[in-house]
Amino acid sequence: MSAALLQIEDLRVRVGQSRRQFEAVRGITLRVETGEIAGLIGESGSGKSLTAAAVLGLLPQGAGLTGRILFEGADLHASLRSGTVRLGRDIGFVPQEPMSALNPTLRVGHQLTMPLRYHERLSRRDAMARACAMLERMQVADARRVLAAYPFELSGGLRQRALLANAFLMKPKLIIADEPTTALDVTVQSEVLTLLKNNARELNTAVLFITHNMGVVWHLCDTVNVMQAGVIVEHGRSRDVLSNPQNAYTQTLRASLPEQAGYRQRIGAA
Amino acid sequence: MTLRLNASLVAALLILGSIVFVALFAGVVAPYSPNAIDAAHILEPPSWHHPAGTDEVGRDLFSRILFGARPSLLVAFSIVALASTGGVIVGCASGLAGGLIDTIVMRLVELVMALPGLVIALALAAALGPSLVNLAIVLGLLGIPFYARVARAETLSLRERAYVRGARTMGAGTLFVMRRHIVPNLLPTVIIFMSLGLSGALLGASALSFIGLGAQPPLAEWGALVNASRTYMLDQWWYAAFPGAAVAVTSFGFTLLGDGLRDALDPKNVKA
Amino acid sequence: MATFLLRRLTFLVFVLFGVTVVTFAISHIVPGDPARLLAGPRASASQLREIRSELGLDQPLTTQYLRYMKQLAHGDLGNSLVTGRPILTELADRLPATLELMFCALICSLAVGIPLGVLAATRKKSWVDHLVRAGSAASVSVPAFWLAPLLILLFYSRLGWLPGSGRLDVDPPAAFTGFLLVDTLLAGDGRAFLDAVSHLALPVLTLALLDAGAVARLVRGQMIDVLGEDYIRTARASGLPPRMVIVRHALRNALIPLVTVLGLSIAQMLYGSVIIESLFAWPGTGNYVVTAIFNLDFPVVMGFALLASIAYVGVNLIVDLLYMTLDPRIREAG
Repeated sequence: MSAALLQIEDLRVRVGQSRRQFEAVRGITLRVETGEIAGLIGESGSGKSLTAAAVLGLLPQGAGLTGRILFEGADLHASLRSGTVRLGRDIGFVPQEPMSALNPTLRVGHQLTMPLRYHERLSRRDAMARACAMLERMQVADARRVLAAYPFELSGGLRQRALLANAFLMKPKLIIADEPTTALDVTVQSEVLTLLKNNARELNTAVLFITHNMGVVWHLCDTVNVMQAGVIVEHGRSRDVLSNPQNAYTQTLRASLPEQAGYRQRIGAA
Repeated sequence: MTLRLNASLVAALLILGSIVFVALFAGVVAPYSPNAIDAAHILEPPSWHHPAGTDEVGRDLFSRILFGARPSLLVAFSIVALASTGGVIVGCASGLAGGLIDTIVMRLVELVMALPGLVIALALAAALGPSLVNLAIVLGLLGIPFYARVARAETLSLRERAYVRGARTMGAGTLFVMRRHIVPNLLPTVIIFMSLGLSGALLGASALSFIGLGAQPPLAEWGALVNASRTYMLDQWWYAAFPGAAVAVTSFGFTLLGDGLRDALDPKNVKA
Repeated sequence: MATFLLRRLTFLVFVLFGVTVVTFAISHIVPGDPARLLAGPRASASQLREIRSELGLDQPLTTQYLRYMKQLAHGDLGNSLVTGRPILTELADRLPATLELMFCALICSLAVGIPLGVLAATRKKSWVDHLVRAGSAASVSVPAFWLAPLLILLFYSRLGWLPGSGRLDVDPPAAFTGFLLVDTLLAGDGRAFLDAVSHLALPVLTLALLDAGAVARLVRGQMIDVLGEDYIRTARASGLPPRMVIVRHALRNALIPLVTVLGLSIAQMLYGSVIIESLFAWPGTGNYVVTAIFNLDFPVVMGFALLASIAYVGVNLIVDLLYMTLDPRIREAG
C-alpha cells in the first residue's frame, strides 16, 4: 500500500493545566490519501478539533501530544520545524467562525496576500491578482471590492469564501477544514460546501473535513472516520459506513438525520 | 465563589500581614519609643542598636518607622473606604436610575476626574492648614469617580440579568435591589480595585505629606519622615531611604494583593 | 463623527466651567488675605482698603466670579500676588521645561514598557513573564520621593556621573522653542546639548521608571487577550512566522485601545511631574505651582488648575480622535 498523504498513528493529546490534565484524544489512527476528501465526524467534546490543531501544530499552551503524524511519509512537525513543509503553502486551514477568524482592523486583501507574499516573495500587485483570481474561483461576484473591504463590511458567507480562498491560495496538498459551515446559514452552507468540493477535486487537494453533521459527510466526503470520546470507533468509505454502520454510536448518528430530506431512504436505511 | 491561592496572593498576604501586625503592635515590637530624644546619638548610620539609624534629634528611626505604620495605613484605608463607598453608591444609583439622571451624574463624575486632583488637594491643604484628616477627606472625595465608573459599568450589565428584572417587576424598591442583588455581585471587581486603590492612596497621601501638607511632626507618618530627611538626604542616606522603602514595600504589597485577587477571581483566568 | 466632536466640545466647555467654579470656590475658602499679601505687613488700613477695592474683593462673590470669567474670556489669568506679573506669561515661560521633561519620559517609558509587555505576553507563565510582572508591579508601587533621592544619591553623590538638579549648568542658547534639546542643536552648541541631556537624564529616568511598569502591565493584558483571538490562529495556520504574527496582527490590535490609556498616562505624568520637579529643582510649571501654594499665591494655583484641566480634556479628545482613526470599525460606525 502506498504511503498516504497524511497518516496519523496512535495520536494522544493531553490538555489542561499541570495538575489537572486529561487525555482528550486517546490513541487515534487515520489516513488521508492524496486528493481524497476524508471526514472526521463526532459530537462536541469528542476531540476532533484538537486532532486538527495537533496536526497543524497549533495546540493550546500546556497541551502535550504523543504518537506519529506523518505527512508525505515524513514526520510532520519535524518537517514544519525544518521548513520543508510549510503551513499555508503545503497545508491549508479553513476555520469555523468567519466572524472572528479575520483580523477586523486589516483589509481582507491585505490579510490574504500577507502569507502569499511571505511564502512566494510576490510583489503586492501580483499577490493581489492571485488573490483576486482565487476569490473569483470561489464565485465572489465583485472580488476587487471584497479585497478592499474590511471584514466587518462583509456578510458571513462572503467572509467564509474569503477564508476558503485563503486556504486554497497557494494550492496546498492538504486542507484541514474545521467545521467551516457550522456557523453559517443553511443556504449559504451548501454553497460553501459545493465550492470546497469542486475546488478540491479540480486542484487535487486532499481535505480533512471535521464536522458533526452526517448529512454533510454524505454529500462531501469520500471516506469517514467516526470519533467518540477521543477514539475512532468506525471508519471506511462514507457510502459504506453510512448505509451499513457497524458501530452503535455511528448508528445513533445516522438515526439523527432528518427523515423529511429523504436521507434515510437514499442511504438505504430502514 | 472559590478563591485559589497563587504566588502574588501569598506574597501579598505575607507582606501586608507583617505590616498590619506591626501597625497594631508597634508598642510591643519597637525597641525604642518613637519620641525618645537622645542628644548623644544624632544622625547615626544603621547599626545593631539602631537598625535604621537615628534622626537629627537622636530618635531611633526604626521605631519611628514602626510607629508610623499606623497613621500611614489608616490614611490609606480611610481614603479608599470613603472613595469606594461613595463611588459604589453613586455609580450604582446612577446605573439603576438610568436616563437623564444617569447622564447628568456621569458628566459630573467625569468633571471631577478632569480636575487636577493633586493641585486641588495641595491648594486645599495649604488653605485649610495641613492635616492628615483633611488630606484623607480630600483624596477620598477625589477618588469617588473611579469607583463610580466601575460600579456603574457593573450595574448596567447586572441590571439586565433575569433575577434583577424579576425583582423589580415584583415591585422591589431601588435601594433594596441595590443592596440585595447588585452590590454583592459587583463586590469582587470593586475589591480588586480597592486593593490597587490602597496602593495609590498610600502613594498619594505620603507624597502630600512629603511636600509638607499632610502629617505634621512629630507624627511619624512615612511621607513626613522622608520630608524631614530632605536636608540630610545626601549625607545621611538612611534617613530618606528606610521610610521611603516602607512606603514602597507596603504599596507593593497592595499591588500584589490586587493582582493576586484578579488572577484568583477572574473567571477568564481560572485554571481549567 | 461630527456629532461625536460636538458632544466632546460641549463637554470641554462644561468641564472648564466646572473647574473655574471649583478653583474660585477654593481660593475663597482661603483664610489668607490676598490684599495683605500684596501690600505687605506694614500697610495701613486705608492702603488695604484701596487694594481690596482694586482687586474687587469688597464685591459680592457672584460679581467677583463674573469679573473673573470676563477676564478669562480675554485670556487674562490675572497676576501673581507675589511677583505681580501676568500668570499666563509666567506659566507659559515655564511650560517648555515641563513639556520637554514629560515628552522625553513618555518616549522612554513607552520604549521600555511596550516591548516588555509584548515579551511577557508571548511567553506567558515563563520566568520572563513572572519577572516582568513583578518588575512592573514594583514600578507602579514605588513612590517618586523615594526613587528620586536614591537615584540622585547613586548617580550624583556617589558616582558623580550626572547632575542632581537644575536644567543647565552652562550658558543657555537663544530660546526659539524653549526646548533645550532643540535650541542647543539649532544654535550648534554641542556642549550645551550634552549638558542639557545630562540634566534631563535623572528626572527622565525617574519618571520613566515609574510609568514603564503601568505601560507594561497594560500592554501585557491587551496582548494576551488579542493572542487568544481566532484571527491569530488563522494567521499562524497560514504559515506566517511568529514575529510577523505578533507585529503585523497582534500588536496593532493590542495597541489601539491603549491609545486611550495614553491620555491617562499623560495626565499621570503631569501630576507626577509636580513632585519630580520639586525634587530636582526643575524650573517647570509644577515647581512653580508648589512654590505658589506655599506662598498662598492662589491666583497662580487657579490659573494652573484651569490650564491643567484644559490640557487633560484636550489630550483625551485628541486621543479619542486618534482611536477613531486607527480602528476602522469605529471609524465607519461613528
